Amino acid sequence: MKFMKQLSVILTISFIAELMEYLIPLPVAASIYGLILMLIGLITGIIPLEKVEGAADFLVEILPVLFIPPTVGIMASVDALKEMLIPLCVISVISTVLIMGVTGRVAQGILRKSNGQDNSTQKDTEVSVQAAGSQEPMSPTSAADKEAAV
Amino acid sequence: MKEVLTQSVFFGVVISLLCYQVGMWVKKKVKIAIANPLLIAVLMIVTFLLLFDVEYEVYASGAKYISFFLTPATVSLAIPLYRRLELLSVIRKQFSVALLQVY
Repeated sequence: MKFMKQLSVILTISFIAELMEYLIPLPVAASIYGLILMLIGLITGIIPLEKVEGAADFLVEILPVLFIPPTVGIMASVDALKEMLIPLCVISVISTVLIMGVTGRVAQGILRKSNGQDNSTQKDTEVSVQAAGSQEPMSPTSAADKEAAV
Repeated sequence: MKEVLTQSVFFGVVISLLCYQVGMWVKKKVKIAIANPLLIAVLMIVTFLLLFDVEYEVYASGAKYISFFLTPATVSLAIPLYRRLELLSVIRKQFSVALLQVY
């Protein structure tokens, strides 16, 4: 029963997210609305962690399996894809690298700014740079060096 | 034989799960990044469907029950994210900006 209740919470949020996708004219997927809703719910305490924990962990664990049907679906549209195979590959690689780079840089910039104000958060923020997906986590000192060089 | 496949909704689910498990087994054996369980499973399923001349729609009629959980699973990604937020006790503003950038 506990699992069932947790699953209903997650499915309810998914449903609200789908309504949001329909009502809000932005090119954002329902799952992203759902993720943000869930995160807000958890941070504000509206949704206690233990009310979703078990089912959510299970779903995250089987996430790769859920991607199998959509990926196999590529075979159904292989003719359309053949014509733009090379541009598609280039776009995927470039945009992935770009997102990682820009995210890391922006996070670094913000962290550097707040490091100037408060040095006690230095250790925490360093870890968060890595968590943010930066490929080249830079220590605050080396970042400062670079800044000085510029 | 093909009619049984066409009518059974379990066909798509079973072949997906079995192929993924084979993929995990292969990954464990060879230990290289390209031997991704997802990639192996997809290649196996596509090969199977082409080899036995099964249409994608037949496979999809069962497999759609798997992808049904895709949105809820993405929503669930908020839980590990929240745990990490708590763990690091990072200032919310910093993290949410980085988060916005990802999307």
